Amino acid sequence: MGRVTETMLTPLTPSSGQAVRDEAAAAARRLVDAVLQTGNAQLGDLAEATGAMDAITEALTSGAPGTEERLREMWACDKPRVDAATGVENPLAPPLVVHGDADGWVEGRVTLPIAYQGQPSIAHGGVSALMVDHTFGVANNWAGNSGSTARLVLNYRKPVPLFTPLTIRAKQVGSEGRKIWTEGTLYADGVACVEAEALFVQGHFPRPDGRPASGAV
Amino acid sequence: MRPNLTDNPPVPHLISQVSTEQGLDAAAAATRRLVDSLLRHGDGPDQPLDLDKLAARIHDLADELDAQAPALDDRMVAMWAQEWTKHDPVTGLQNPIAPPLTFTGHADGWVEAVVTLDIAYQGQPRMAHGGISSLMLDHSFGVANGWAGLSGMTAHLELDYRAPVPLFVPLRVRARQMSVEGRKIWTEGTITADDVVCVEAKALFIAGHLPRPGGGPAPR
Repeated sequence: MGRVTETMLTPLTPSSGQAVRDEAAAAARRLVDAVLQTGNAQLGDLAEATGAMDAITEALTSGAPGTEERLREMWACDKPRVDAATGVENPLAPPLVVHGDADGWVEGRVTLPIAYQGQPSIAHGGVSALMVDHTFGVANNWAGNSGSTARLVLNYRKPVPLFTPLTIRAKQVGSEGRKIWTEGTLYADGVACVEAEALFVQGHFPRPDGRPASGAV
Repeated sequence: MRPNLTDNPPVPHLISQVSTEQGLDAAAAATRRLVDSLLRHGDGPDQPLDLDKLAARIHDLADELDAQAPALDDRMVAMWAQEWTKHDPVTGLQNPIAPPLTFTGHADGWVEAVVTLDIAYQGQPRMAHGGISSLMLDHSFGVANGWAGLSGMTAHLELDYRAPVPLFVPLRVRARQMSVEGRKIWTEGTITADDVVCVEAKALFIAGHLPRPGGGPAPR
């Protein structure tokens, strides 16, 4: 399979939107990491930080829209920006960044910090599954025919290291009626760590604003 | 820790830890609330907060914590020093990314957790991301293997998604070790919502764990 070269890349994950939301989410991502890195060394200061966080939460919550209204808002754009893998507005997403090339391959890139740890210094196996599942969805979108995961099979060949650039390459390999087959591999330093294949069934859930469902996730 | 089931009355037995409501447990819980409120903050002009200023305040907080943080290697030794750790992304009380799940172990070998997922775990509209289901199941398998007395690392994981997994409703995550042959461990489990099986999964684990930083105690 050919490597993706920079000139061929088409960004498939959200890149533009509300810059302030992205910045707030990036700050919260830093906070998640800082909480984990700090540990219990400084109990007094942690109590102060906890209080400061709760003050921010309280201010954010007052006047926030109801759940239904907020869901309509977040699904109103063409490329939703809140999912748990690539969502730049979601502090829980690393976030994974995915590009597509002319051969139908997509390539996701991510470096995982300590919050995604399973075994010592190794990414949680379920986090690899999350990154792969999402990259498959983007690959299907890129192929023009996407849906929801029906079956996902992963073979873990090597531990996936934290703090190291990871690459997830995926491609739609076939479709028949509403069935879609997708394959891919997660690499660290060029070494295949996780190999996966999946069956998707075409179709998406309706958006909260009632617009026709699209293959945006 | 697994009790000797022949000497003990019927369980459930709490496997996951209980929050101390202070220190890092409380800080992680506050971070979780902040993440949720940030996602729920509206796009409309009537919103109370200037997100620019808010981002700066959160950066300041992260800076203050970073200034207190030990070197990464030291922190790794500390976080792996107890047999029961608190930092994983599924049950970890000290990890803001973890929902977190709380598992109980039962006499018939099953482990079970009930969790309600919010917007941060979304994939399709109102639904949990398929990868979040795999994350929760993979972790529940590790817990089930620990409960059964022999655990290891995931070698093969297969998931069948039968129905969408909804946000905002209680989900039941269940798992049990099926069999062991040498170092090979087979484990199975489900996620159900309102008694509907949404995801079924099974996995092969290979017994054994990577060494812990600082020589901390290995799990069984």
